[in-house]
Amino acid sequence: MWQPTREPLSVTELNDYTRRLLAGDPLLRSLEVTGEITGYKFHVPSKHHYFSLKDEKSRVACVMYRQNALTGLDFKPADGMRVTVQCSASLYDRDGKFQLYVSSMKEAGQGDIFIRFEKLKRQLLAEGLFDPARKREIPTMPRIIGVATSRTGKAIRDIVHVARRRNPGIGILLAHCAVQGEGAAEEIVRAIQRLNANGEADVILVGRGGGSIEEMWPFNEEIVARAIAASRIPVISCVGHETDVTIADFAADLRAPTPSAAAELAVPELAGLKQELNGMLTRMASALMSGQRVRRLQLEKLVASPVLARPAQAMIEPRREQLKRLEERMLPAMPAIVQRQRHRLDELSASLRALNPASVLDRGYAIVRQGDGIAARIGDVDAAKPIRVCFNDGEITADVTEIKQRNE
Amino acid sequence: MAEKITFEQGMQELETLVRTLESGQLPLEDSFKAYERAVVLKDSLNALLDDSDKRIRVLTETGDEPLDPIEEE
Repeated sequence: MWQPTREPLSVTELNDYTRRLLAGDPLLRSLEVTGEITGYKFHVPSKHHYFSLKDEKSRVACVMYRQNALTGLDFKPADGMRVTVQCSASLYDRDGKFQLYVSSMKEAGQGDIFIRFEKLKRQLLAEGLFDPARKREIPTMPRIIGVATSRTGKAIRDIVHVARRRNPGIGILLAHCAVQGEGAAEEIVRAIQRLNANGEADVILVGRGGGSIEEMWPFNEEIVARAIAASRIPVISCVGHETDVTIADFAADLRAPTPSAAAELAVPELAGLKQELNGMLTRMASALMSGQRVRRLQLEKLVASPVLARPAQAMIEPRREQLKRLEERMLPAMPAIVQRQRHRLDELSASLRALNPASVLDRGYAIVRQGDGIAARIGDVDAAKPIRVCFNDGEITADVTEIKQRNE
Repeated sequence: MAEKITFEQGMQELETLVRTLESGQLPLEDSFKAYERAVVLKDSLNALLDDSDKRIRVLTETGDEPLDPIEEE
């Protein structure tokens, strides 16, 4: 039976000892390490960067704190990038985890993975595998959707959930395949082929949930891209999250950002379709009604038109109207005409009165006569003979005693 | 009576019928004919919508089997 030889250490004591041991090493205090970024995460609240660096055999955890990133980082890190970091290596006491504390980071050329991805993409593109003309149309109303993914993954749960919510009657046919690790690409290919051989599915969803770039790698394999392109049934790809783009996405007939989104694209909402259908019939009925209503109104207007309804009156009525209007205009004019004539008459009478010689005599004038004529001027008067001065009511006979002519 | 058409074809024909009728260019007689056709189409399309499989199955190399309820949630 084993006996402890001395007082055992607590975990904290062990981690503390190790950390101090590492801190005493001059190399680990300041070093440069080159590797490929994987599992990169930017922690939003703290603004710290967490990731690992790896090469063919090993990996090491890294953290780059916000204050270091401010001065030591001038690009956006991403999985697959090859970088060189300046750092110190130490133990994170709490988790007993060996990690690199990065003070600055620079790009060291693209990683192998990225180069392989770009090379395959260019090759298949040149081959015409991604041609838009090759793309099959996604059916708008599938009865059964085929899914090539893992039966235990999150992707199939999301797809079933979304598809069933949108159309409770949708059939789902799952072709199980590993979606990461060794042999996954071959399994994905077989799953796609199995669904095509079965032939029941109207559309195939191929994909998986989010993960590291290594986990998604099977979807960047050439055989998967070719199997998707060769599928008789249209394929929607859905690998990882919004930002993950794989070769499979280029080969698919449609790329969905996530498995849930793929289910939304593949399965139309039954309620929405029924509503659309009913809406069309309603539009149709109302178009028909309004068409009929227009015609009926036109008919009613015709029938009710006066010429058809009471032809005789229709002819007479307008003329009677016309007459009445004339009358109405004439009546007010009459008194004015009479008034004007009367006024004119008064004026004329006054003039006449003024012209009557008798009325002039009334105002104090008299007429001078000699013999038979009227003496209107001095020259008319013969001083040797008497003159008669005629008033309105009688005359005086007088002798001329003196004549005085005014020199004009 | 439902007839054999794809959903896409049916929707397209229905859409065309609705547009024509809405344009008001059809004579009365043809309007009624168009409406009757639309009703038939609607029934066919509804039948397509209601024609469901409802099953969730796992397709294996040898055949298919239901998906475990646990996996389905």
